Amino acid sequence: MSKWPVKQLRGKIFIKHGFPFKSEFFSDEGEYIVLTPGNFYEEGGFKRQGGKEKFYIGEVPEDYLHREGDLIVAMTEQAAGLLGSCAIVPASGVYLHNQRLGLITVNEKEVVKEFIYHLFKTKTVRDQIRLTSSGSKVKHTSPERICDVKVPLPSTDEQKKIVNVLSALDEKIELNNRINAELEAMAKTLYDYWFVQFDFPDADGKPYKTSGGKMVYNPTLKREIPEGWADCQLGGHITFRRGISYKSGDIQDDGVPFINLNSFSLSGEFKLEGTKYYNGKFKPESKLDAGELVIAITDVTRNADIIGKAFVIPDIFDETPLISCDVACLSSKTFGTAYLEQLFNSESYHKYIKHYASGTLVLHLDLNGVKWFKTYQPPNKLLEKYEQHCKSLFKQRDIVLKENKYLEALRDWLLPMLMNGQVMVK
Amino acid sequence: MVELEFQQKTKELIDSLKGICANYGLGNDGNEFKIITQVFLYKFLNDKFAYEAKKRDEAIANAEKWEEALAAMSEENLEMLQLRMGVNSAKLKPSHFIASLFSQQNAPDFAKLFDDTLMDIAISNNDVYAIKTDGGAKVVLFDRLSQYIADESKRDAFCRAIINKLVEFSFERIFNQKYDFYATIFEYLIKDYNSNSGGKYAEYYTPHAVARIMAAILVPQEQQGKIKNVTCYDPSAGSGTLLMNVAHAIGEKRCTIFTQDISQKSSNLLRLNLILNTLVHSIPNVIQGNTLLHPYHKDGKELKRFDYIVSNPPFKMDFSDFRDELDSKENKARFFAGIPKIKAKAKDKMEIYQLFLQHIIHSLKPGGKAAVVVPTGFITAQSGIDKKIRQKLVDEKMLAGVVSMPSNIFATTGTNVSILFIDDSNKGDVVLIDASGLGQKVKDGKNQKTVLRAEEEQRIIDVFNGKRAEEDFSVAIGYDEIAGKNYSLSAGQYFDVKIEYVDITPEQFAEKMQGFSSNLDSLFSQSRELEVEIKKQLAGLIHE
Repeated sequence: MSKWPVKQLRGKIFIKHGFPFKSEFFSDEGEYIVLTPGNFYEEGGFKRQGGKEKFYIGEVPEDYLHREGDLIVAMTEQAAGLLGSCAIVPASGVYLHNQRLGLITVNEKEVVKEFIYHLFKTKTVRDQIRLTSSGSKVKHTSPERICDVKVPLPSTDEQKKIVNVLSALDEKIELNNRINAELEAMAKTLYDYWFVQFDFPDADGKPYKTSGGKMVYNPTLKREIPEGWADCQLGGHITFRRGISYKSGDIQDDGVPFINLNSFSLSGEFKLEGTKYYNGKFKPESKLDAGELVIAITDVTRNADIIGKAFVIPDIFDETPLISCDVACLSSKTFGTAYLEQLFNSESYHKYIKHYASGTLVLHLDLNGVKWFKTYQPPNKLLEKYEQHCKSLFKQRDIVLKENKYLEALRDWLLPMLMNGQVMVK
Repeated sequence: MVELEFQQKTKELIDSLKGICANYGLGNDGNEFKIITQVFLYKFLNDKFAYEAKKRDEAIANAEKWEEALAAMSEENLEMLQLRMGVNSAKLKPSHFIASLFSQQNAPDFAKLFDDTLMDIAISNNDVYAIKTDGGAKVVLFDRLSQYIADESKRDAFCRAIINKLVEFSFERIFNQKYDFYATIFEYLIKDYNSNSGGKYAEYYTPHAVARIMAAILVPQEQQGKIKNVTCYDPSAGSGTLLMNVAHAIGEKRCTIFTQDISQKSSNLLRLNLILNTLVHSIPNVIQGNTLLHPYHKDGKELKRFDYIVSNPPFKMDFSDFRDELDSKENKARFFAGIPKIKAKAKDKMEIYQLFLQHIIHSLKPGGKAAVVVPTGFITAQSGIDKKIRQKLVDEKMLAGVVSMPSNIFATTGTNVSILFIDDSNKGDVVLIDASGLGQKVKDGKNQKTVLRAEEEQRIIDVFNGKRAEEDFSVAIGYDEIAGKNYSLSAGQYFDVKIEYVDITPEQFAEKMQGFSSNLDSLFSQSRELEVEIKKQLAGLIHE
């Protein structure tokens, strides 16, 4: 099949073991972050662990502090499929090179480092590593055994060309993520300025509070709000729809897009890679349209980071999606989805709603908590104005997300063929 | 200093007794526990006897060997002396003394002599020191210990080794010690035998911090030493840590303790604990038996009611084999909120604490107080038995409050716990405390454990007793407000929503928006360049 000469990696790459950092110095906060297999995506790539990092407060040996661009490989299978996953360290002076992770350096005459990163995503490499692994419960591999791996290896010139193709795709995906981050930050800034600081445009288009708009103390909310705004309980303005209870067998590689707990990032944003696919029975009316608001009503994170958080379903699916029972759809005739998304993801709301989550390992949200939330009701016109502002942001976000979806599919499809020479770069 | 030294010596004695057991092949044997605790108790009673006798008789106090001086006394005088000593010490004859056994250690059949002596002590003290089962049988103070050594030829040597350890140092000076001393010794004594080693019944040791908080809230400082003639009860007493703390807060002589616990081992531990803590007068109220099925303590036909109740009941357990038996007419009032159903798939997950909690509420005197450890899920459950219990407590105004503890306060269980304080006399505000953010995480073997600092413990106690509201920590609210929130007892649900926000000027806002705008401009233009690059790269691919 392959056009390239098949060679062993020995002598072409070198792998250094990490340092056995002592667990007694692990902490919930600190300056240095200890990397673990949890920092790898199964297919490869660096996964930030927002809120779940292991910090280290003991003494740090100099040689084990990562630099930006370091290529690392997981040599233990903490979760299935992680064995042999590679990642590129995104920053210098923060991350620690932990035991069971290998730091890969290369013989530059023979291989290009970035090529190795992509190479280790292929089934060819992963299968070899998996088959030679040891350990009964948790599988391990070693630098020795990784060096035994045989791969089709083109010249460094060819390698560079292949890397260029894949990197262009990766860069665009990363860029798109940054565009979305900017869009989301914009929506939040505007929300805070209008609805938290109350500097929404008044009748003359001036910021209300700063221009001396009248504020009245509201005894229910125990704070000042603009004159004329009423207080209310959210419950009077919202309705819920529950998701579908599923069995693990209902989830397959193909099917109806299924929004679930994994679709939420820690800050509440939609996470494309968390989408699952559902194959069980459902009523047609259970399907949700893009633009509807969903909230997380279950949580398994350490600090209940996700519970109660919300996102607006993006318009990126080929088929309208379903939601799992860990998620609820929330509709309101009064408040717009963009407004509620900001409200639910705000720090003060999250601090409030956390207290309505109960359970030992898995937290469940008491929806009464959402209904009993006391807030103010801005005038409808202002709410509409905010939704209008956000509409274009959402549209742009969806385009970008959709683009990423296709770019990722394209990259994953091309990768194996580029690696074995089936597809050549001119 | 003296205290530490004696504590150390006492611990050494316990360790060397364990060493002997190990040498005779009893390490980790179920019977090791009986040997250690009973030998320790023998030593304790022997030395306590000496201590009390010396206090009352100068001749004995001044004698070079008190055992000989006692043995030389006429039977009449000895009886007089024992009468004056009262229940503070067990009734011992000169032949019961350790010294007496020590001097006969080379006699043939020493093991038999040893066992006979202990049994004789048990029988002569049965009226005070025996505990009862709910069926009425008596559990005596000692067993024939040497029988636990399977090899008969080793029994004499074993008993000899033990008696030689016991003469090494005298406990007499420890009887001046205070409560905390015994708590430490007791914990040390039972530490190896009080773990959840499989089986249905796990005797979790209630952490001291929890026990102290419960006692200090049930019996506030200003009431300590003023309450008199009250009854304290624990329907799942275990080794009695909670009761000891409450009895100590009230004053050991001012209260009578009543207990029941299904475990034989726990009941024995509890007896030892009572003896150590000068609560011998309560031993006849220690019952070994099933509290739910056969509650023992009664006043006439009715279940006895108590002034104070403390308990850390088991949370979940398989009681399917007697569940239906509980569902009877006479239990209607006692289990007013219902009896958990048998779970087809997870019988061991049946919520037995709900029954204990209802039993406790039912066993409380009008105006009485109780403190019960419950799983935190209890305080917010939206339906079922949990909610019905909370509803009764709120509607009938018999709550003092709830303290939700940090996770892993019990090293042995991952379940979050709260302490429920019931107070039938409180018609005012209820205090809810969210202490889940307190404590320091430490490693305890393989487990994560949270330890409360002394000042954190005090903060919980002060805030509760003072009914203070502290930001993000506690609230004091009326019964009505609780009823309005689905009877939830979770402090956090009553906290005010706080909005922390720093205002920005219109200029700053404009600047920020401008920032977004230019960032996006640059990203969009990079994006366009990349699009061109990607198209170029893709155009260069050839399929061969």
